[in-house]
Amino acid sequence: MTTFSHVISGSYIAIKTANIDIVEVDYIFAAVASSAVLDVDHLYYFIKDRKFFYIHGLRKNLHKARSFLHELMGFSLIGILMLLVGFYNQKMAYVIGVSSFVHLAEDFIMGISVPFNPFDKFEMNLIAQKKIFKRWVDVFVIVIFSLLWINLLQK
Amino acid sequence: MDKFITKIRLKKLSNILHELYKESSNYQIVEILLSVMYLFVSRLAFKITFILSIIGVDLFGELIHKKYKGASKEYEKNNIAVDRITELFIFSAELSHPLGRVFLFLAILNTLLSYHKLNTGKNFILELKLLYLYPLCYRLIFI
Repeated sequence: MTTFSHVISGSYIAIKTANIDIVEVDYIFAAVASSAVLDVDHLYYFIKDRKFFYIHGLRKNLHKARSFLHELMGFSLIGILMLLVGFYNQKMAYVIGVSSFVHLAEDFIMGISVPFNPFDKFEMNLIAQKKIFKRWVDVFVIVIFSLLWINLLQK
Repeated sequence: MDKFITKIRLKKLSNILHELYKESSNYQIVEILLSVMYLFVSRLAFKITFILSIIGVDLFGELIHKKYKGASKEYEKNNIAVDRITELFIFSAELSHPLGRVFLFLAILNTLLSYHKLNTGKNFILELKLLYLYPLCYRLIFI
């Protein structure tokens, strides 16, 4: 999924379920940032393995451009971060954690993941890796959550 | 002629539904989606219903997988990963409650224990969703 669809869905779910008012900009910024920042790990692999991706392309190889932060280990680390931030600000901890979790869960459902990376390189995918299907899901998520965001902003 | 076309369409639809029914990963997707929907739930009775549904879908998916594809280590690994994700979603929703924080900590511990299970084959994983039903039911009945 694209970073934009992660941001639009993850931040909405976090903000809506935490009952955050639209004027609480710091929480909204935290939700947007934490759902987007996880995709930075792709950049590292794109640069490091640029020759591989140039030869083989991105299709069916995109999971090779994700670190252990995109797998179960990422879930655990974000959970620990949530507990630590929760000592100071529970609402902030919830927003950061949930928006990141949604991002990771979306990638887990849509892509090929290596859940037990770095200890086990077992690969799994929950849906068939068809480009057209994934693109449609992406469009669907963007349209639905854009409408929900518009509804939230109008209140 | 119309009846014939309707019959063909119905057969196609039933084939598609049967394929969806046979594919155990679909149940795992439903499990994750239910756990995300759990974040929106505030009533105790609904929370209990959601957790029971997630456990039910998990068991049903396992049965379907065993029926059509037999027991496999790959499916077990898939299931471990999906279970950990659903637990983390459920207990992150309970972050405002002290017991929720304890269970979130246990869910993180459970994730780390799953790595141990993969390496050694020894099962130390806690059934946290099932365990969390007890305090929820207690709160529903007595508080």
